[in-house]
Amino acid sequence: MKSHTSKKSIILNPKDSLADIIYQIKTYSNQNKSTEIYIPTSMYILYNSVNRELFTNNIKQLSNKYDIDLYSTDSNLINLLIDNDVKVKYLDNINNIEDDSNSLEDETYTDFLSYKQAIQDNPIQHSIQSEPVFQASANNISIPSSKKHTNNSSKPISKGLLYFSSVLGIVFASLLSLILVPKAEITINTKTEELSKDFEVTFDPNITDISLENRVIPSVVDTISASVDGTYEATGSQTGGTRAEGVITIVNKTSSPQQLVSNTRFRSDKGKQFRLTESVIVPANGSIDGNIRAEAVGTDYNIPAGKLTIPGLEDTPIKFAGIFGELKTDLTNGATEDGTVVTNEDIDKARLDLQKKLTEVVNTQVTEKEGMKALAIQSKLNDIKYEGLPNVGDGVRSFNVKANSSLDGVFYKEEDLDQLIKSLLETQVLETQELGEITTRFDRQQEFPDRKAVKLRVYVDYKIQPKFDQDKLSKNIRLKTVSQSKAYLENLDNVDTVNLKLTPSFSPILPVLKSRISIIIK
Amino acid sequence: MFGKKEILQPLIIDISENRVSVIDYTIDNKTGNTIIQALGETKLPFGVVSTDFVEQEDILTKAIEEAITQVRPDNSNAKEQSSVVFGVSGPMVEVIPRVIELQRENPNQKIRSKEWVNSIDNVYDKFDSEVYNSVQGHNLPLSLVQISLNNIILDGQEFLSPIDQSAQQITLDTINTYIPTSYKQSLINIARANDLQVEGVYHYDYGVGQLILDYNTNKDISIILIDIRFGHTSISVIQDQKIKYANSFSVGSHSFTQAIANTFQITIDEAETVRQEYSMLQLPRDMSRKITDALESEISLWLQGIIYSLKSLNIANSPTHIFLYGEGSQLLGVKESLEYSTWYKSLNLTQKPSISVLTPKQFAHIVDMTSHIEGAKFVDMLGLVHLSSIPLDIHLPYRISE
Repeated sequence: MKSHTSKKSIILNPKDSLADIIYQIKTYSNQNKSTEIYIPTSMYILYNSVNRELFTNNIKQLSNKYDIDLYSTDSNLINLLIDNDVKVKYLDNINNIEDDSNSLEDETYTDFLSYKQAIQDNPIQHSIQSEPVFQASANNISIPSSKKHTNNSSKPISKGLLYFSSVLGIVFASLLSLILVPKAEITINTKTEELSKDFEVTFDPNITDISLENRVIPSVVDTISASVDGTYEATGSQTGGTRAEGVITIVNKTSSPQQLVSNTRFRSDKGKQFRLTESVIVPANGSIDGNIRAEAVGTDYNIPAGKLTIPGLEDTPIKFAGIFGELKTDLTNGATEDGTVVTNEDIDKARLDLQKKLTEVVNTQVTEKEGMKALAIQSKLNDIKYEGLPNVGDGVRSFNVKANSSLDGVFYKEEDLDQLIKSLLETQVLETQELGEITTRFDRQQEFPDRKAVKLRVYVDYKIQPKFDQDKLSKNIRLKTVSQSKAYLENLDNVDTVNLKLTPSFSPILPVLKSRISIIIK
Repeated sequence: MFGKKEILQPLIIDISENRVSVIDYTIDNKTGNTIIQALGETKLPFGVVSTDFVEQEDILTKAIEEAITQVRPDNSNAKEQSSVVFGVSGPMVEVIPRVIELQRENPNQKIRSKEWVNSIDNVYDKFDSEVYNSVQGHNLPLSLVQISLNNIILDGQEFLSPIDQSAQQITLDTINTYIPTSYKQSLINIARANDLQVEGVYHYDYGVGQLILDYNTNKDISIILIDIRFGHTSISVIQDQKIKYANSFSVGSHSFTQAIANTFQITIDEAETVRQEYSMLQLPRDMSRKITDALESEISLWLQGIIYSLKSLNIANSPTHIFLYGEGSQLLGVKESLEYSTWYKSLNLTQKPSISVLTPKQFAHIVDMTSHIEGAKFVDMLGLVHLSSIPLDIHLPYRISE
């Protein structure tokens, strides 16, 4: 059986829907924490820009929580995904990758069966009855051993007086222990009403005092700032150099405008091919500038200024002759594998890591904000400022980057909401009753409200239970036997059941001291 | 025309991932109404068709044959002279604006229908012979299936129709639709196997957009059309009497059904039934709650897709209305997700458009004699019916070259 913490590999299926793909990745990331996702070459669904944005946004969100690595054999797609700010590593092929997606379900099932078998084999160990081992040690009441003190007085004492004193002492100690030592723990289960209600509560950052009448409580908009840093290695040698790229002037000497889509090829006189990075429409008898990028890495693509032809137009000779590219300056930025340089991926990695660290730090600060609870938090960090971020191609082994950012949150005082809820519920409570446990939950706040007042429906589950004067109860049952006490308590109005535990169990009566009687009302 | 034999209209074929539908219709000579005479439907097993690819052409061909037999039985000799119209949309379909200029030899002569059709033929040949590289950046071959006219400019002046106008230079602002070449070839093969001639392959959004435009008296309408098909959602906007296409994305009704199937560990067919009962409020409250929870992330993903897709359009004026249609549009929670959230703010729209589900009943001039054309899933087919029934000198002649 594989460990759930080991890295799992998923090979995406080009025939799956986008929702299926995202669902699959979410499920696996959630189960494994560390997931490798392999994108095959025919994953055309991700060439669609909206699909790609949905995919990458989900990956980014998951990457904040889990360790996710993306791999693909499709270099065109990798470039597009990198444009969407997602790091993808190139692989020659994925034939040797073992897809764990088929085995995971069985594995979970096997786990479940093994667990079930283990329970059957050793019911005691897996029984909840084994838990009182801990309870016993926690509740163990040490009974003080009665030490016999010897009196070393030089005055001799008669044997009769000694016996009498001893008997008297034992009787007195026994009586004292009966009064002082016993401890009673009583749980009264009452006939509690479990109710639910919902209220519309306004959280307003523009007020300072709670208004019970209008159901408005103050909220606070606060900015939580954080600063983190990290040192990252430059991995330029792994990617094998840089592709040459630059600006080309595309000339159209024909009388019709010509659209050239992104990826249109341009060829130098020595046969080196470049691709247009974005679509352009070249006006008739005019020209337009565009960017080209070499098809491969290396210095071979550092070509001198000159004319480049468009192979896609070869079938139409007039166009082929009339529409071409003019490189006005030499291309020099292509590089082969030579030393360590900073790559786009390195920078992306640093950014992502710092973003992750910032998110963690900020989230911790949000949850640890004293006495306050978050009502809404901005879904995204404010602009992250980086210090020391190198440029792509910089020849360094490692680089240190500092990042700082902030996150706006709207907070409220927990006690304010409690006060409001209690004031709303207390109108329903009779004199002989009291409010029991209260739990509240909100409708999800989808949008960050900033400084606007937010009306939210607050759902409250609460209990109304009979009110008992615990002091009076303790007074009435002290020095009574267990059965007398139980009978008395069970006969009270609205009492359902009573559990009474007396320690030591041989004690015939409940303690005389009220402080030794603990009553829990549920 | 009076005394003329009734012209046989093309069959309308809608291919989805889970079914094939065929509509046979006629035009009533007296009223001009479109009369839907028959509907044929065949269910498709999974894996025969994906959004933009035909995986098992032989099975699809048989399914279409069966559906055609339902609308035009074998004893009907009309089948021999039939043509067919297909619809397309999806994440792999690319819609690209183009501009082309034509010089006329006799500028003083009025443009007649014949010259216009010939000119358009030449334009089509010119576009069709071009090598088209995908704007999405992949290497999958794509082929032209539709050219629709956005603007006709004669010597610098815009005209709705060039017929009977004279000019030296005609500038055509066109919208070209490209689909994967393999899909186009499959459509041709399927038509051929069923003795049908392909009359056109239209973008569904264009059909529905044109249907709304041609039968809407208010010329200032500004509407977002959201078509939730089986495997994807396609979006377009009608503004300034023009149809603007947004990027589609791969979340459709199947994603919702799959989420229900995953939650309850039931089959897709069972989940489909549950999905429909849920939308018709026929389920117990507890189960409905579970479904609402199960669908939450899918609907949220879908809504995010709508936002990204509309962002790519740069809508100038705030649309006043949204029409939802397609088989996923009637799912409980979909319309509500647009109604009760502030998605429009991220698009800088000044107001939230009103939202309604578009159904065939809203097109009074299309008369359903079958009583089966019910529900928003048939709106796409009605768009194709409309396109195939309008005069050719108003819109470009659409065709698929074989």
